[in-house]
Amino acid sequence: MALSAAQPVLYNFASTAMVDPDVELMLRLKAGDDACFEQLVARYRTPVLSFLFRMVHNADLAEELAQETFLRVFRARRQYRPEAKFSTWLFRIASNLALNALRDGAWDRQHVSLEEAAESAGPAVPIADPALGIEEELMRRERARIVADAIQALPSKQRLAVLLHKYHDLDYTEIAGILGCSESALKSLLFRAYEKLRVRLAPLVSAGSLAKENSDGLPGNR
Amino acid sequence: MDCREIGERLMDWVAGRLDAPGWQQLQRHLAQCPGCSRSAAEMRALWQLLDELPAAEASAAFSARLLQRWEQERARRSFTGLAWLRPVAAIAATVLLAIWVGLRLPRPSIVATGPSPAGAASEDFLVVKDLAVLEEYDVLVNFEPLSVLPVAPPAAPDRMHPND
Repeated sequence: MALSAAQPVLYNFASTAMVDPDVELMLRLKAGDDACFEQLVARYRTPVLSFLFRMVHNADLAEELAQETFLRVFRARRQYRPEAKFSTWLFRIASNLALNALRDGAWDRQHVSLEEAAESAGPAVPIADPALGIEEELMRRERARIVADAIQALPSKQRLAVLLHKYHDLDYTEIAGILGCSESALKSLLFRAYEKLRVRLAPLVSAGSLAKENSDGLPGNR
Repeated sequence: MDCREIGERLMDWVAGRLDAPGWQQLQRHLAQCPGCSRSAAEMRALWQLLDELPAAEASAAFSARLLQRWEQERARRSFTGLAWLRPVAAIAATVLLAIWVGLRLPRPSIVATGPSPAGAASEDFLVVKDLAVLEEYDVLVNFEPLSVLPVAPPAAPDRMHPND
């Protein structure tokens, strides 16, 4: 399932380059300054890899897809037009690759759970915290596994929207551009996805919300 | 703002994306609505719980491998940048191949029998061509199986050429 290439918001060429330094790097890369590619990789390596890792649930596959994402950016540099933020374009490429990999069953062939990945020497950031005791650490890992499974159980488009909204701080316009839908459709999609997560993670969520309410009363801060 | 609108607003609220008027409006509603207040508490707990999903860091091999693949892309680009040379190279290769084939083709061997007039060259060639048969003449004449074959009588000159 490939996402639409629709770009609902067109940006002014000059102002986009001015506002988004990544666009400027991309334009220099387009003009032949190959060093800019390394800067873009350095800037987006971790976000893209994390996104793909959470999306496909497999460390090796995530690295392969991340590399392919950056190589596609390089290959497409001559056709690049600064019509949106660079990150929107980049994550659209990564999203399409992830969805294609999931559709083709690459995930099934190489499935490694997040727990296994965290315990292996793979690229997952070690979640062990020396400040925590063993029991707390084990509980934290268990919670991480439950959260990962709940996200993994979401339909791929909802999962994609949640990951981009929650972990990559993209605004609705950008996410809608990546998914190829309207902002209102995106909000509805996100609302349904968070509701599913709230239901699936109810035991952990209820415990957390009760503890928080007991500690500081009415929720709500900025 | 009614309870139905609160759900979508809560996503912005926990993500810190509400503007000041929207945030104040939401707070007023939550203060008066226990149901939405509970939903808000759960949404915030969910938001914090989602933070426990591990991120990923690139392995050491990641950058090295990406750099290697990138260099291959650049090398390929350099090659494709000379694409205009391809037709020229193809034509040059064809011409060279034709010359080479022409040089390698076998030529008819002509046995030189000494200087002869140019007009007699074709007659000499015919003689030389049948030389192998002439060399076997004695063998054919003395070949025994041929002696048992009936010999046709020579045709009369007047019957062959009645008009002569």
